[in-house]
Amino acid sequence: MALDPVGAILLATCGAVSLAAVATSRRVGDRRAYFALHCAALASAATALVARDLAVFFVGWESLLLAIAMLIRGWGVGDKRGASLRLLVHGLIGSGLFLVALASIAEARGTLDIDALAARPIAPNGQLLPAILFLAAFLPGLALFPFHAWSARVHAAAPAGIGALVPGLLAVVAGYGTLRICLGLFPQGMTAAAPPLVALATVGALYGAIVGARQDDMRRAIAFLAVSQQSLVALALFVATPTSLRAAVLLLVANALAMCAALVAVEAIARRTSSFLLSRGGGLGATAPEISALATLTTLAAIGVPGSAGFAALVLALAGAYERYPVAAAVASLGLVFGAACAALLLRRAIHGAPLISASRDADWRERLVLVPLLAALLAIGVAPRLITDRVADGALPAVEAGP
Amino acid sequence: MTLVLVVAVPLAAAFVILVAGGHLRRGAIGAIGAAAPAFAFGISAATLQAVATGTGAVLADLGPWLPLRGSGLVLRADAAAMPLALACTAIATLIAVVAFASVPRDGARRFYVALDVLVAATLVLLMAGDLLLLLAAWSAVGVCGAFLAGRAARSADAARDGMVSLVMARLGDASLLVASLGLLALFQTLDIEQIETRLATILLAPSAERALGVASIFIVAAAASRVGLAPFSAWLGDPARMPAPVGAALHALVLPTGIALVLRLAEIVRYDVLVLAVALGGASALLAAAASLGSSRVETWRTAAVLGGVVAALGAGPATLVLLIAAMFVRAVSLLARRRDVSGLSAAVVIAAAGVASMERPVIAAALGIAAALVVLGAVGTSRIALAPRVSSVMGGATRLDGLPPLVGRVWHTTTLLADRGGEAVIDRALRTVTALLETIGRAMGGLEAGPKWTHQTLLVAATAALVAYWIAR
Repeated sequence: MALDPVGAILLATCGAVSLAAVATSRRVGDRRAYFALHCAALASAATALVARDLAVFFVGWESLLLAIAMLIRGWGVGDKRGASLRLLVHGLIGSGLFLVALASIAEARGTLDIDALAARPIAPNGQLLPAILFLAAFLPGLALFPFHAWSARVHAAAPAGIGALVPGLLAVVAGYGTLRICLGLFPQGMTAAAPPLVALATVGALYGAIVGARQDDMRRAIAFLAVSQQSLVALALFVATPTSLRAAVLLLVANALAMCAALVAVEAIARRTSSFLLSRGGGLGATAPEISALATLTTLAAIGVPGSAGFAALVLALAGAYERYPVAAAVASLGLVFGAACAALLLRRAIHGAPLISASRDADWRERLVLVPLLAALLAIGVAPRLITDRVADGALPAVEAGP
Repeated sequence: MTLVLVVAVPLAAAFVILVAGGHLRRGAIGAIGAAAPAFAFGISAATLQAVATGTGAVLADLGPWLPLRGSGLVLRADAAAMPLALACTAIATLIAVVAFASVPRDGARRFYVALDVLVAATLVLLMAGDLLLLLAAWSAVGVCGAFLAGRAARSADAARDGMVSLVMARLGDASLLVASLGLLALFQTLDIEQIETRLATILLAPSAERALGVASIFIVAAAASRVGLAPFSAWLGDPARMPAPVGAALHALVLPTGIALVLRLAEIVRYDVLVLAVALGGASALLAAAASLGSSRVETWRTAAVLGGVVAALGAGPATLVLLIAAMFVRAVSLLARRRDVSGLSAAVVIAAAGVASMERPVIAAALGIAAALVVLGAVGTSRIALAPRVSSVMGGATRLDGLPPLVGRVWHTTTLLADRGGEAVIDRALRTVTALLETIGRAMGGLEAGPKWTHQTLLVAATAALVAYWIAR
């Protein structure tokens, strides 16, 4: 096991999100089992981030999937059984392919050590298949279109304390796996597969925001917004320029913090309106101005307004993508417009208008304790993104040539 | 560091109001919110003086920002940006003072935070040293505009205005982002000064010219969406449905940033795209003026007409700045003067504004007349200059505040000769000058025969004359 600069940054992010998720968990039954699974999820993510062996990474990845699925199954709401099943099915199909690739590499190379495999890469014309097999495990974790179908159900069934683990741990580890394993070990294979993957990511960036704007359930709206933002992570990873890879790391951090904050804010709104449905809520701005302000700021941070980490990461990602795929970058930038529409509709229906409830409690100490530090972190990274990008030297990133 | 204070003070005021506003009285919120732009006005005036005399620091470098070439937190003040900065801070102060009494208590905190952040963002937009910082400031102005438009939590109209404003702002952001990325790919830097220098010194290959043209179109599209030129006029909120300070802030501060963007990047935007923008501005002005007849959204169309006229004046050097600043002030006082039931300092400002607003028509006509005169003089003056590969910049013309077109110099010289000496030679010289003037005016009226530069000038003169005629006839 070893910790590289990228792994260290993402590990810190996982820790911050886990802390926020634990702090926002309230009135949970069987607290011992609940927090034990929380710790197991964080430990699994850490295992994957420090692993220098593919088998160890696989164990960490699978444990993380299981821990989150069990949390949803045990402490979720609504269709928690169906949601956890969907997550497991999507994850395990990819994991099965991951195992096939793992076994093949062990047989062919006699080692699963990542550094040893990187030192003696597979022949370029043999890299495409293993790259695709490994990627099959990570694409659902990134909720890339069309592997995103589990995401909305999981967010609708999971309270904020569990739902935050999806963008905060699962997506982070999936992004790291794509960077270290797919791009690090099979660069030529990823270059060959880049055009269709870039196209998928571009479509996903628009699709998520457009569909999110039509949701009545706030959690599903946030889930689709996360699909849009994670598609930009995928775009940055698949383009694979030094600039875009740095942007991918920054985006993973920004999305993890922003989506965690957004889920907490949405739950705070629902606690006051007694429903996650926008059609049954509204007018919160008049009765709970502080929570409305916090919800507004987190939603704007999630869509990447200037001053937030999302803006810096988004611009860097599109700048990197423009170097190799200018049309895709230009089309993906339309995600700014659709993301704004999604956020504006969400805020308009939840906050504006005549209040449906006569009086609401404003933000309590627990909500402030979670939301204010997350917003402060997003602002700090947005103003000084070099806090993160400067720690990712060129040598820490895989070198991927441009395609023909 | 002085430049940093211009931006930091409004931001700090906004932060204080946001964090501690719940514990402050309404008067304290208003005092902090109004003091910030007033302070920024004072610093801007000092900066302009330093720039004009060449004695003060005109650059503030806070270090790198994103790991892209040319990106950094750099502010540059020049003689073209500071008049606009003065105008913006002065208008913001006026609006903040009127808002003391006219913005409801539950909206005061939101209003002053949005106004102060808007002032800071506009100042950064005017002084940004690179395209990325410019984009961030541009985007922040749009978000502030959306906050101002979504002014009241209970109002469905406000919710709709805020939503539409945010979406349109992000459309402009996407356009400017694509343009910035294209320029980065073309010039391998985001630094505005470096891009302008390279454009002025090297001839681009045809493919690069095309890429520059595409980037130019996206820049103008972003500006058009912000200003509300056709076909983007539909998103403009109606200030008659908003509190007076909110309408004034939107129409006199937010919308004109579209024109400020084009002025800021005029050296980079390709000439033919600039001509298109001029034509679009003139057409939008006339359409808006026509639409205002019998419409219930008179104030909206009036703003669109005025700002469209300013866009039509792009390329007229100092005239553009004169028109833009005049338009911003006139729209601000006109909208502020709608609010009559206030007292105290706010009332004094409103009464003064009402007095000025009653002179709106002659003020606009006078500003347009001055602009038209400057246009004609500029056109005549440049007629003897060989056309350079790249058109001389709008802002470059604006910085030559102490230079006079050659014809004016000749007229002045002739007049002094007449006064000093008299004589046949002097009269002969005067006759030659008048003849040259007549020839040049004739070429201007011919327009198309003289080539693209005269097409541009002709369009400008025509649009200006149309606007003058419309305002006099209203």
